[in-house]
Amino acid sequence: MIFHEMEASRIASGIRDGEFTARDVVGDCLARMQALEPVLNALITPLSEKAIAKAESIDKAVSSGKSPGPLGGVPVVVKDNMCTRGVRTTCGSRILGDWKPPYDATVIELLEKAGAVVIGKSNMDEFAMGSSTEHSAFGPASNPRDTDRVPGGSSGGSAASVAAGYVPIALGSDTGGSIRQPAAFCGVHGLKPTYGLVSRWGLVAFASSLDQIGPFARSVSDMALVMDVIASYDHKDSTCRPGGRPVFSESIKEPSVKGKKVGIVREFQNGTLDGDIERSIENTASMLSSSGAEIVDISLPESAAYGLPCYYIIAPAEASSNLARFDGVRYGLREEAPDLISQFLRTRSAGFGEEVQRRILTGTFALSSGYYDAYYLLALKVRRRICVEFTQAFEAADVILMPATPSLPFRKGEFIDDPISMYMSDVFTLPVNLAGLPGMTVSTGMNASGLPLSVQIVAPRWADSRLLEFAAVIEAWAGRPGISSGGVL
Amino acid sequence: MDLSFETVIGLEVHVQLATESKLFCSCPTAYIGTEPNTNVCPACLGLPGSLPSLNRRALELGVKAALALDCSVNAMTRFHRKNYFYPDLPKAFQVSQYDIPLAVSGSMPIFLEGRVKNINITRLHLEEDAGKLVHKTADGRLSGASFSLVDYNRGGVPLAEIVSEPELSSPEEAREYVLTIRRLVRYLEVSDGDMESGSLRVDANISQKCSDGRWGSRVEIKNVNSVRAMERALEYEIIRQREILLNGEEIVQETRHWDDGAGVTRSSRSKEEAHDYRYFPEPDLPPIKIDEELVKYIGCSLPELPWDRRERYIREWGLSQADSVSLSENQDVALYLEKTVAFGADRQLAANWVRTYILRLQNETGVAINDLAVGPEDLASLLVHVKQGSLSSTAAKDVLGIMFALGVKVGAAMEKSGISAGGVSRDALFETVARILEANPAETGVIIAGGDTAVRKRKYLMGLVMKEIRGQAAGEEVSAAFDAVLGSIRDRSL
Amino acid sequence: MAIDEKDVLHVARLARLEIPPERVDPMVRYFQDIIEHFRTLEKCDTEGIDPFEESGSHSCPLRDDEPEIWSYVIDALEEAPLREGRFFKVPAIDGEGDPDDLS
Ligand SMILES: [Mg+2]
Ligand SMILES: [Zn+2]
Repeated sequence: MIFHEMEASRIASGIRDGEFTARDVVGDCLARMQALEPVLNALITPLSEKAIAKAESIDKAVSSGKSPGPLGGVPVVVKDNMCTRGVRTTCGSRILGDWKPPYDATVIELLEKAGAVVIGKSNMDEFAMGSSTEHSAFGPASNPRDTDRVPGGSSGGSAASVAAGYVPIALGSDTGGSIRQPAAFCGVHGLKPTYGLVSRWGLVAFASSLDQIGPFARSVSDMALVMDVIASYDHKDSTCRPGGRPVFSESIKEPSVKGKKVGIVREFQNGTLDGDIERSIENTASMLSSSGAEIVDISLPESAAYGLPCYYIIAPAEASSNLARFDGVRYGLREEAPDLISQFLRTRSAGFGEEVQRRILTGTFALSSGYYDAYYLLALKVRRRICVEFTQAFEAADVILMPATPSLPFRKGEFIDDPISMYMSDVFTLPVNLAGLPGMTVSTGMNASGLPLSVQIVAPRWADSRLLEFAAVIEAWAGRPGISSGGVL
Repeated sequence: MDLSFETVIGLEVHVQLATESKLFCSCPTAYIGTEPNTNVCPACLGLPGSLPSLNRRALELGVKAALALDCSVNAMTRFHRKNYFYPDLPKAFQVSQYDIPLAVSGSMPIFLEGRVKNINITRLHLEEDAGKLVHKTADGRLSGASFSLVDYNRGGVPLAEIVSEPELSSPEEAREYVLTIRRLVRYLEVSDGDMESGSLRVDANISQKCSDGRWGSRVEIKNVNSVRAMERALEYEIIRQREILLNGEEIVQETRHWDDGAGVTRSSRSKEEAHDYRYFPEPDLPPIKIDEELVKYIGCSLPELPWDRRERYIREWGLSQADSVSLSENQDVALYLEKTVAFGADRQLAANWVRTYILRLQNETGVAINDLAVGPEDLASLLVHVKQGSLSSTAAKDVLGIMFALGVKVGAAMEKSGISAGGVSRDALFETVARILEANPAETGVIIAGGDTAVRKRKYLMGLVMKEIRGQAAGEEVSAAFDAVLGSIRDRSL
Repeated sequence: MAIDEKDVLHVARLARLEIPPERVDPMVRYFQDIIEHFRTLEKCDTEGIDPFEESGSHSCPLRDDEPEIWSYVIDALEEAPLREGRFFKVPAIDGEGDPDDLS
C-alpha cells in the first residue's frame, strides 16, 4: 500500500483496526522523505530513528488492545520553532546552535499523546521571518510543485512536507501569513486558528500578539482531526482562551453553506492580483452561490491600505524584545569575547541572519524613545481600526472570501535582495493576524502550468469550525490536493 | 549672600512578596541558601518558547499592601516589558508595570520626634526580581573579576515596588519612612521585609532646593543595603550636592552607587549611553481585571494598621511613644497585649510586662508569642495580683519565671515559689476589718458621714488591714469586706 | 525627519547588534524606505482610538500559588555554552547594562 498518499484519518483507522502497522506507514513515509529530501530540503532535522521507535510502540499498544489515540501512528512534521524535548530546535537560525530544549511545546505533548509520530522538524525562514523559506541558516527549501520555486514561508518546510507526501499533516506557525501563504504556494490546505485557540507554550516567539500555531493537510477532514487534538486550553499560555473547544470533526460531517453570507473584498483586487488567483476566487464564489450561499460585497479599505505598514511595525517591535534573550549565556551559540558587551554583540551579530537583524533593528527603532508614539503607538491604534473594520464586515458576512497571496509561487532568488517587495506577499494574510481572526487557505487545484491555486476564507474570532465547514464544501467541489514529487520520482 | 537649602527625597522601596512560588512561574521562591539554579524552569530561565502565568497570591498581597497604604487599586492593570541587556535578566526584559500600575495615590503616616507626617505614595506596582550575579576572578577573588557567575534562583521572585512622592526632607525622615514600610509589610505578612537579605531594597532620589531659587538635578542612589547605609548615603549626597551648588556649578542628573566601605557615592555610568528601556505592553499577558469584590474583601479583612493602633495606644491607653511603637509593630504582639487587657489586666501594667518580659522571653526561647507557655489569660491573672498589691513586682517576676519554666498557672507557680495569696479566710478578714474600724472611730465616723471625699481615710484604714493580714488577700476582697462592715456599722447607727 | 547613519548605529547599539561597515549604507537606505512606508499610517484617522483596548480578550488568568520543582533543570544547565558547576558563566561585567536596576 502507498501510505504516503493516504489521509491521516485513513492511516489512523487502518492502524487502529489492525489492517496495517504504524511501522509500515512510518517506513513508507520515511522512504518518501529520504528520496525527496535532497531536492526539497523541507526538513532541518529528520527524526527517522525516533519515528520508527515511536511507531513500534504504537503497534505494541494496538496489539495489546490499547487505543493508539486519534492520530495513532500518523506521521507528522512540525516546524522547527516548536520545542521538542531533547531534540534540536533551531528556528532556522545559527544562533540556537544545537540547542536541545529541555521541554516540549504543548502542541508536541498533545500530538504525542494522540499517538502522532513526529518524523522531522521542518525548514523555515529564520525565526519565522520571511515568505520564502530562503532565509534559513540550513539552506532554502524547494516547492514540490515546481522545485525552481520557493515553497513560501515561513512554514515552507511544513507545507512542502505535506505537498510532497512525507506526511499527511504538519504543523506550522502563522504570524503574518506563514501558514496560509506557503499552503497556497505548495497547493495544500493551511489553517491559522483564532489567536488564543491553540497554546503557544513552547513555540519560540516571533511576535507574541500575532503568532498562532496551525495545521497543514491535504484534506479538510484531516485538518479537523488535528485541530481536535491541538486546540485545547492551556494554563501555561495566558493568552490561550479559557474554556472548551468545539469538536471540529463534527462541524464538517454535513457541511452546508446554505443561507450563509460570503463577503467578497473588492479593495484587495487592485490590479496587482494574479489573474488565475482572481478567477479562482470568482469560481469559488459562484460555486458557493449555487450551493445556496449569498455573495455580498464587503469593504476593508483600512486593512488594505494600512495592514502592511501596521504589521511591519508591530511584529518587529515584539520580535526585537523576544529575540533579545539570545545572548550566549544560557543556551545556543556563544562567540568568544573578552567582556560581556562584546559577547552580546559578537554572538548576536554572528548568530542572526540578515533579515532577522533587519527586523530586530526596525523593531528596536519603532520602540525607541522619540519614535514610540510616531510608530509603535500609532500602529497599535491602526490595529484597533483594522479590528473594528473586520467586526463591521462580519455584521454583513459570515465569512470573507479573498486571496491568500497576490501571486503564484515566485522563483527562488526573485525577491531575496528586495525585502520590502517580499513583504508584499503577505498583504492578504497579515490583516487577519492583526485582528486575531481565523483564516484558512483552501486549495482549489492547479492552473494551466501546474501551479497551485487557492482561496483564503476568514471568519470571526472563535468561528474556526465555520471555516472548516466552508472549506469542506469548497474541497468537495475543487477536489482534494494530491502529492507531488517535484519531478524527482 | 547666605544660601540655605532644602533637601527633597523620594524613595522607591522594593519589597519581595511572601509567596510560595514565583510571580510568573511555579518555581519555589527560596533562593537564600539554595544551590544555584535549582529553583528554575523554562519561564524563569527565559528559555525560548516559554511564557508567563501570573501568580494570584502575588496580586492579592500587592492589593493588601496597597490598601494598607491607602492607595486606589486600579480596576484594570497590565504589565509592560522593560527591555535591557544584562546577564541576570534572562529574557533581556523585566516584566514590570508602567502606565497602569496595580495601585496609585496612597499615603502613609510616619512618626518622628513626636509629630506625625503624612507621606504621599505615588504608586505601587508588581514586577519580577532579577537573578543574582557572583563576581569572581580566575583565582577566586571577588574584586577585579575576569568573569561572573549567574544564578537565576531569585529571578522571577515577585516584588512590589512602592514609590513615594518626593516629600521626605531629611535622611531621618527617609529612615523612618523605610522602617514604617518594613513594619507594615511584616505586620501584614506581605513580606519578611529583611533588608540585609535583600527582601527589602531601597533606591533613593535626592535633590536640593536652593534659597536663591535654583533646583539641583535629581540624583538616584542605588546599592544601599541597610537603613543605616541609606542614611549615610543621603547625608553624604546632601553635602556633595550643596557644595556643588555653592560653587555655582550644576548637578549632573545621574545614578550613583553607594560604596559602603569608602562611605561615598560614585557615578555609575561609565559611558554616556542613555538608557532607553523601550517599554511596551507585555503581549504574553492579557490585561488583568481586578475583581472589585476581592478588593473589598481584602480591605475588610485588613487588621487595624500599626499606625492607627499606635495612635490609639497613645491617645486612649496613655502609653508612651516608645511603648506604643514597639507594641504595635507586630500584630501578634499587639493581639497578645490586647487579650491580656481583656482578661482584666491594667493597660499600662500589661504594656510594660509584655514589652519587657514577654518579648524578651519570646526572643530568648525563640518561641512565637502565640505559642508561649504563658498566654494572655495567665499573664492577666498574674498582673491582677500585681495591681492589687498582693504580689510585688519582683515576686511576680519570679512567679512568671516559674509559670514559663514549668508551664503552670499563677496559683501553682505562687505555691512553688512559697508565696501564698488569698491565705486569709473571709471570716478572719471581716474580723480584722471590724477590729481596725473600731480602733479608729474618728476616721470611721468621717467615712460613714460621707466626708472622706478624697478616700484618704479609707486608704489609710485599708493599709492598716493589709498590714495586719500581711498582704495575703486581694485588694478587691479587702475593699469588699470594708464596704460590708461599714454598711453594718451604718445600719446599727441608724 | 530623515534617518541617518548615526540613528541606525544607535539603534544597533540598543539592540546589541554590530553592523559591519559595508552594510551600514544599505541599512540606512532600508530604514529610509521602510519608514517612508510606515508613514502611510499617518493618513489613517486614529482620533480618539484607545490603542490598548482589547476587545474579545479574556482577563489574564491567575495561577494558584503552589510551588513546583521542575524536573529538567540539569538538562537546561547542560545547554549553557559556558558553565561553572551549577552556575552560568559570563565574561566580566564591564560597567554597561543595568547591574541592579529594578526601578
Ligand atoms: Mg522597578
Ligand atoms: Zn520558574
